Order: sequence, then structure tokens, then C-alpha cells
Amino acid sequence: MMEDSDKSTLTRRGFLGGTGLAGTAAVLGGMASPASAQPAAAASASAQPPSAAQLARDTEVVEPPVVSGITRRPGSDLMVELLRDLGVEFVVANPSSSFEGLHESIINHPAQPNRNPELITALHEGSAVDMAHGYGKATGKPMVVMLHATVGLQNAAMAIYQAFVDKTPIVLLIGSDDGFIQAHIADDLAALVRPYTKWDAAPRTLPEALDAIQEAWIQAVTPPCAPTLVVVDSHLQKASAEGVALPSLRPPQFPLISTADAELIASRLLGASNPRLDVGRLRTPAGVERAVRLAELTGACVGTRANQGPMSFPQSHPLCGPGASTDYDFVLGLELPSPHFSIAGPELGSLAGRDEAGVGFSIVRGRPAALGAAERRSADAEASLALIIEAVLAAGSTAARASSIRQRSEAHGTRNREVRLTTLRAQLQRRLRGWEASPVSTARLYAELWPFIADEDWCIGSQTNFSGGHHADLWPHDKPYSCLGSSGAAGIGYSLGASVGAALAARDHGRIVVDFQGDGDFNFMPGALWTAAHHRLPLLIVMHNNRAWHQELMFVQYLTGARGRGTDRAHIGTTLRDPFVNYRAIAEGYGVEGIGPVADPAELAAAYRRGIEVVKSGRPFLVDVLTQPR
Amino acid sequence: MQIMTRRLPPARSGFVRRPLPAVLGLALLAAWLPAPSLLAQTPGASLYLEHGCYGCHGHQGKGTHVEQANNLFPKPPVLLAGRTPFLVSEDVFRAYLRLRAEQQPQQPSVMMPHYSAEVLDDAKVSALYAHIMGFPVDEPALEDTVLGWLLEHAQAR
Repeated sequence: MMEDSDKSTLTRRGFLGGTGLAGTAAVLGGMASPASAQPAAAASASAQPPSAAQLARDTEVVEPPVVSGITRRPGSDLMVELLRDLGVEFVVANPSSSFEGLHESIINHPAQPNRNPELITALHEGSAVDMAHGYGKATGKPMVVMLHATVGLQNAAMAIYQAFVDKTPIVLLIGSDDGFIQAHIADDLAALVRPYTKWDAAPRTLPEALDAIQEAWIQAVTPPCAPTLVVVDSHLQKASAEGVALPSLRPPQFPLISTADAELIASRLLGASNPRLDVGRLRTPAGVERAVRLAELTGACVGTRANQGPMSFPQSHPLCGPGASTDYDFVLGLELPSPHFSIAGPELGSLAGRDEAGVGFSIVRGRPAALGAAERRSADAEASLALIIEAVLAAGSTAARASSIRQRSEAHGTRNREVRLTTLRAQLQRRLRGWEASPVSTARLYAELWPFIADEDWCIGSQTNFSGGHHADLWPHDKPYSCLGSSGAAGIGYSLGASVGAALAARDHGRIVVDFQGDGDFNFMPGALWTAAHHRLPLLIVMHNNRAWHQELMFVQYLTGARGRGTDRAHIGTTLRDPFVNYRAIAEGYGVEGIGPVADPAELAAAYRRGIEVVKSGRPFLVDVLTQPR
Repeated sequence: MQIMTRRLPPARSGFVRRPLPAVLGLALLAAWLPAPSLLAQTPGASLYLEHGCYGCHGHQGKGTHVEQANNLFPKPPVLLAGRTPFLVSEDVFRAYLRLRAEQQPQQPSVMMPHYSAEVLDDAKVSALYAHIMGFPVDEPALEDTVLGWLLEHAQAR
């Protein structure tokens, strides 16, 4: 069953591998779309070093290339119009010769110059994908990333992998120009990242390209959400669009539970004396609204993951918590396991199935068997919630039932508040340990910021596990984007770029984004600071500066000790000493104001006050804090 | 966007720090020096830094909150006099360091590194012990910190 299915508008073309579940099934089966399947040629492709003439175009002052067929309405204009119609707000890129046509159309489209989408400038392709990753998690919508052929795509590969594992929708448009540097082209560009992208295509005509871009967007937002990829040949970008129309928009088709299942769930929720919802990560804010609606309609108490990642149930909602009694007689899991009934989106299984070279990853996504529910449906919980709510409303209500639900909700609200405050007091007490210490305790790193943002609209864009993740216990996470969670694959270098992406989502909404930024992670791609400064993003970067890759220091230290050879050299290769890194100076070099290093905890509040003032004026700010290791 | 004009809540700016015991004053002063300083003030402080004790136990022995991320490793104890059994005396401390390295070498450490006399002689153990015993043990009251404000803010919601 599919939500928003509109088969009359489907204009499937033979070159596409399929849509909706059919497309997913093709991917799961390890099949590439016909237009992108060139494995034999890829295996024999050889990369030649660039000629002097080829290099000259990139590195010297030369005449612009002669472009044949200059047209006032190029194909790339239509691509931009399609992105606009799909609701794409931003296209992020580091500039490249292979997508200059698309680049020019974005910034100069006659009807919408550099608006919807707006071009965002990144200083590294990995950083660009991290930005799309953060934006995708904050909004549930894909950002488009333009990447330059072999070299740009490989720079981005690690970030793509993280987004894939983190089930985040991103559309990658890969520029390709077969008349340019041979080392930059490949017969099957998508093969470079196919094991960890959901869908790809290499269209050969402009209409095919437009259809492929739309299909990539659909595939990205349809569970299992993931990065998708279209190779957009330079010639297609520059080709005349005369006689070519935009394709009809096709709504995504979300896998749904059946009507019978919806009615069954509704009857069990309404028939239970103490029902519960357990809410994991839904796709979009609309899903969170639906979960709230269902809880309120049924008086169910709710478990949430809102302090661990995006798109879950608001923690401060009166129904959120263990409830008046933990003797639940029906638990509905929404993207989470449940002992009774669980709805969880389909997963991409082993990546090895997509890896024609036999080099692969074992299963990196989802282990459906682990859900362990008595009844489980492989469907999109967010879309299915609409059916369940409809069934609950259709079941009608009696005065007795309404009274029961009201009383239960009030009891839950009272008890949940007690639990919240009791738990908070205990958690706060634990954070007193080392409160006055210098360097600053990680607990204080978080706690001192709270008075400045408690009454603001805020979002934590970074992963926080390396700095203690104290927000999880101390701050209420009430918005779908309050906490965007970890990087996905535990790769380093993610947080700054992802926070910049979250700040793009926040920029026009008066929202503040906070990046609790590990120093080791920062040094992978600090250039994202420039993007934050250039695009005037409301981003507060709080350096968790322990001057080390501290987890690794602990590992090496343990091993040196276990081998009995002393721990006094464990810092070699694991710490950032001699010289210390001056993050304030780096920030200022990229145009970002900063303070620090702050070692005295008593100075932290003043630094945050200044930082928030700047961020609220629409500019990023960095506070470098010397911290305890963890 | 508007410039933020809200200031810290009144309770925040009026914090009263409880006076620390005088005996801890010097240790606290040393602790407040910019850190992790490689210009450690005493031999014990130097050893604590060089051997990476701070990595698990924190720069003042207060731990590192790794319990907030239970998948992290290892999970070290707080190093505070009166709270940690192996700090009851220097002899016990030394025996603890030597235990697996010299007395039970067939039982490698699975958590705390072991230290033989070869890598940490008795004089160094003494210096390290003295440094650890100087760590401040006092903590402010909740209401004297911004943590108290967090609780008040939550209660007011």
C-alpha cells in the first residue's frame, strides 16, 4: 500500500530502474539502472594524466573555452526549475568545470536568480555533503550537492557513507565532462560510491536527466532514506532546452500498513487500559505532529529518542515519559521495536550485494530481526500514522471512553512531570563533580550555555558523544530538530559541516544552532567555518578542546600499561600538543569572531553571552574552551 | 534577528561560592592555572600529566563523565581521598600500582594500567600520591551554580 500514490502521473521511462518499492527492490537486488550499468567498461578504464592544455584551463590564465551551441534556455535552466518544483532550497558545491552550466543557471536563472535553490559555497566536497547531512536531518528534506566527477566524488565519499548509514536523504549531482581531464572522468562514475548510495543513474538525454533527477529525489526521501546520485553530463547542462518540457511531478510513494492493520492498531490502542507509544526517528516534522496527535487521541504515554536524534516525540509533552503506570498492555513501536506491534521502515540490507568488485561492507544498516516485535510491519511509520489516526477517529468515542482517556492523560502528565524533575535533580547533582575545575568540566561546558538558549528556538547540529552528551540529561528536546544525533558511521570530521547544514535550515527561522565541536573532528575540514561566515549563519561553535584524540589516547595508554612499558609516551600520536592549536585564530582567519581559549570556568558564561549576541545578529561565533578530557 | 538582551537570571549572577577549606586553597589555585599545562608545578603534577592519569581521571581526579556514554572505555573511578580505597595510604597506593605488574604479571590489566618499579619508581609513586591527595574534594551546592538555575527553570515550565 502506498501513500500519495498517483499512478496517472507516473511517466516512467525505460532507462529508470523503477520507482517506489520497485526501485528499492531493484537496488536491493544489486541491479543498477540500465543507463548507469557499465561495469565491464569501468573495470578497464584507465586514468591518464592531464595534458598541458587540459591543466592550463584549470590552473592558468587562458581564454575561456569555446562553447558551441550557446543558448538562452539551456538544459540546466530546466534542471533548476525542477529542483525548485521539488522544494529544494539549497545546492551546495565547491565550484567545478563539469557543472558550470548548472552553476550558472542557479545563480542567473531569469525567474529566480540564486533563490530556490540558493547556491551554497563549500571549501571541500566532504564538507559539502556533511552540510547536506545536517540539513537533511534537521528538515527531513534533501539538499542537493554538486560534485566534480572522479575527484570531487572521491573527496566526498566518506561523508556520503556516513549519510547512508544515518539514513539521511541527499541528492548528489555529479558533473562529468568527457572532453576534459581524462583522470576526472570514468565510464561508470557512480560505481565509486555505489555500495553506499541507494540509487543512481547516468542519463544520456536532457529529458532522461530531468526524470532521473526527480527519481533521485523521490528515492532519497522514500524509506529507506539515503543519498542518491545522478551523473549530469556537462553537455546536457549546456544543451538547448527548446522543445523539452519539465516532467510531471510524481509524489513519493511511502510504504504503508494495510487498512486492516490500521484498524487493528486503533482498536488495540483504544481498548487498552494503559497503551503506550515508543517513538524512534520519524522522517519529517509532520511525522512528529502525527505521533503527538495519536498520543493525545488515545491518552497513551510515550517513550522518545528526542535527546539522541531528530524527529522524535517532544520530551516536555505531558504524555512523554513512563506514565502513571509502567504496566503497559499495548505498546506500539514507531520506528522502534515493541513487544506487541512495531512499524518500522524497510531497510537496505547488506551492502555487499551492490558491490560488484566483491569488496564490501557487511550489513551496515538495520537488523530487522532484532526488532523482535510480536507483530512487525515493514512500512513507513510516519505515513502509516495518518491511517491509524484516521481509524481512531472513525472508531468514534463514547463519553466513558473520553473520560477514561482524559483521566489517564492527566495522571500521565502529573507522574511524568514528577519523574522529569526527580531525574533532572539527580542528574544535576552528578554534574557538580569537578564543577570548579580547570580545564572546564564537560558538564559545565553544556550547563553554562543553557540559560542563554533555554527560551530560544535551538538545535544541536553536532554529535555530542565525545563531549559527554550532557544535553541529553539536562535540556528538554522538544523540537524535531533539537538534537540531530551522531554522524552515522562514527567517522570523524562530521560535526562542523553538519552544523553548518543545520544552520542553513535555521537561518530564516530565527533559530540558533549549537555545534559542540571536538578539536580532533574540527581539524578535518575547518573550511566549513568560511561557509558559515559567508552565508551569515546563526551558528555557535563551542570547542570541546581537550587537545587530543582522546579516545585513542585512552586506548594506547591502556595498551602501554597492560604491556608494562609505561604510559608516559602514550601521548605520542594521540594528542595535539607542541604546538597547541589556536582555534580562535583559525576562526578569525575564516571570518568568524571568536573567544578563547577559556580555561577558567568562571569566564565561560561571559564568553557564551557574547557568542549568543553575535549569533542572534546572524553571524557565527566560536568559543574555544579548554576542557577536561571527557 | 534581534540582538539578545536577556541577561543571566538573577540567581545566576548572585552565586555565593562556599569558602573552600584553607588547606585546599593552594591546590585549587594550581588547578585553575591554564591547563592542560605542560608547565606542571610539582614533580607529582608532572607525573600525573606525563603518564596521562588525567586522561581517565580528569585533571583534578574528578573523573571524566564517561558514564554519560556507556560504550566508552574504560570507566575510571574518581580519585578523591576518602572515596577511593586504594588511596587510603601511600603503601596501599603503591601496592595497587604494582599489583599486577610485579605480583601477578600473568594477570594483565584489563582496565587500569599496571606500573612496575621500572616505569614508576617509589620516589615517583610518592610524588604522584602527594599530588593526588592534594586534589580539592569540596563541591559547591547545587543552588550556588547555574545547575540550580536549570532546576528552577524546569520547575517553572
